Parts: sequence; C-alpha cells; structure tokens
Amino acid sequence: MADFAKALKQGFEAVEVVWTARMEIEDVFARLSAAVLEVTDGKVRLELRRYAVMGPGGYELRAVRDGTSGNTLAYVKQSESGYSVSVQPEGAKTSYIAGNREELEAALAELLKDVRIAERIKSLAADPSDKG
Amino acid sequence: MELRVGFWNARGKRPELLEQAGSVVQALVAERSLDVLALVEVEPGAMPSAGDGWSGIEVTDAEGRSRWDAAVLFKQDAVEVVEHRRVVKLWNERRLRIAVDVELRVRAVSAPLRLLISHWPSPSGGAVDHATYVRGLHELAAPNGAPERATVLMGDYNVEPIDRAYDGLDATRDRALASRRPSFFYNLAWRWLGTWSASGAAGTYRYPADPHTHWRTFDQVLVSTHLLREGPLRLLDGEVVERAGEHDIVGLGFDHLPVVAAFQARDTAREEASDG
Repeated sequence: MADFAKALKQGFEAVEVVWTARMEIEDVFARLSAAVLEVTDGKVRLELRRYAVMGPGGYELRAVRDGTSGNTLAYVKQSESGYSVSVQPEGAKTSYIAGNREELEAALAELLKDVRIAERIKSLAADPSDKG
Repeated sequence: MELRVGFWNARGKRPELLEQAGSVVQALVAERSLDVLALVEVEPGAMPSAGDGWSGIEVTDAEGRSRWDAAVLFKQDAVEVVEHRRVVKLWNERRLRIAVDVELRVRAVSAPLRLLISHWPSPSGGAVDHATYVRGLHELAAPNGAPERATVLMGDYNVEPIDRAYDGLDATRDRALASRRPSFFYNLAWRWLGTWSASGAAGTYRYPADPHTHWRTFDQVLVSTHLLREGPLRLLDGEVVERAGEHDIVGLGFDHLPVVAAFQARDTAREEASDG
C-alpha cells in the first residue's frame, strides 16, 4: 500500500530545496542590483523582467533609470528547480551556465566586467550634461 | 530519408595534416552521405571545406587563456543553422569550455535538432575534476532534469563511456531503458569499446604510448530520448570510420577516428495529415 504521508513529506522536502534555491538566486540578483545602484550614485538599478520568448523561467535583465526604458544587459534562464541558471550577455556569443550560487555570482561578475555591458550601465547613469 | 551526422577530432595542428584533413573531410562526407560534420581541434581560419553545397561555422575564438577549436560543416539543402553559442562554466576562477550549442532545423522534416559539441581536456592534468564538465553539460542539456527537445551530444570527452563521471549525465548503454526514461541519454559509444574492426581498431582514439591498450573510446555520440522514439528523427545506428577515400585515417597521422550517427527522418506531420 502506498504511504501517502511519506510521499507528501518527500514532496515537501523537495519544495523546500527548490524554494531555498529560488530565494538564493533572488538574493544574488538583489545584491547585484544594489551594487549597481551604489556605484551609479543611486541612478541605475537592475530589474529582471519575464521574457516570454524564452519560455518558462526566461527573464530579461535590464538596467533601468527612472524615466527611461533602460537597456537590456542579458537574458537569464532559470530552471524550474532554481539551478541551473544560464546567463547570456546581450549581443555576446558566449553564455554562462551556473549550477550553484558561486558559479552564478562568477557569471554575473563576468557580465559586469564586459565592456559593452558596463557601457550600457554607464551611459544610463550619465546625466545629459555629462554626455557633452 | 536519413539524416547523417558526424564528429571528428581532426587534429590538424601539424602543418602537413591540415591539407590531409581537408581531403579526409571531403571523402568522409561523400562516402558516408553526411549532412552535418562537427569538427574539433580546428585552427583559426583553417576550417576544412566539405565541397559544393556545404557551408560552415567556425568557433575558434579565444576563451581566457585557451581557445575554442570547433567547426560545424553542414549541407545547406539538408539543414539550417538557426543559432549557435559557446557555453562556459566559470568554476574556481577557470573558464571551462562546456560545449558549442548549435540549434539546427532539419529542412526535410521541419524539425529542430540541438547539437552540443564538446572538446574537453584530458583529466590527467588533475586541475579540474571531469565530473564538473559533465555537470555543466547536464545543466546545459537538461536544465529541468531532462532534455526539452531532440538533442545530440557529440564530442571528444577525453574519458571513456565507462567513466563514473558520466553518472552525472544519466548516460546509459541500454537503448531500451533510455527510450523509456526522458532524463536519460543513450551513449552509442559503448558499442565502440574493444576490438570491432578487422584491422584491429579498438576504439576511436589511438594512443600507442599506453602499454596496456593502444586504443581509447573518447569520441562519443549520445542522444536524448526524443531520438529513440517514433518522431520526425529517430536514431538508426552509429559507426566509427577508419577509412575515407584512399586514406587510412590513423595511417595518415591522425590520432582520432570520425564517428557517425544516422537518423531516420520522417515528416510525421505530413503523414498524420494524409492519414486524416
């Protein structure tokens, strides 16, 4: 006879693992946005927007400043269980596959070091008078 | 109708082998009726030509201190390359080249086919556990635990099918089992272990310096469940190729043999429409 109680407990444990992973990923992106906000003197923050073209778990990572539509930095695909997460910088031929927090942080740090990506954030942070 | 896909580590780094690689490729695609041929160990700007009606993409960009070394040749009237990208895992400050991810459309049956082409370093250096590469490939091929579409993994993995590193990929020698388990990959290369050829070839990679065996089976083809069931593309069989045209491939100085997988291509949508 099937032990439904035991099965449900196993299901709950699996849910806990998934929720923990999702919260961890949210936390990484929140810290990423906070760092961008800090370095741009509070002008630019990052947002993850659902991106239907990529199917379930697909997001567009955008740099936004109030009053602007912002710039796309990358496309992010998150698996149903949280990890793995793939990060494809906009316009790049290389994407990163991350299976845990450490690898995701490394991928996002790599994203910020990319001159084309940094330029998009910097141009958004610049005031009209800075652009000459 | 068939779709035939090949893979070859065309070690052409010695100048005299570059020209030979070109003639092997041309003979190989003609004799084996290939539609797609993935190559690794391709030097930048030295992608071999497969002949008229063929095109190719070269992926030889620098990646940190190393370099990608792949190319994909394809018959233009058989397949279309929809997109391709390089996939890297950043691990312990290293950039692990997991695969070149190529999205194809098979024209005759209007079906998508994903190729993940890998060339991994030898584990003998010890710097990176091979299981980390396998994990990266699994995360890429099956992000939700099972591949979402017809997927072929091809590569010179520098480990044999029997290696426990593959446990992370759900790769099996058991075709019947793989066809029932959506998360599994069927690894054709199990059949290429040991002596299978009258000439004595006993694998896909010849390494005479090893006193215990001169052959290893590093070049492999793994397919997802989608390609084992009825559908637009279904695996027929695979083979290792020793000769191309007049060339004894190992005899020329190459250390890897090409491997080929053949798929039955059926326009199932048209069949269903005509049945209706």
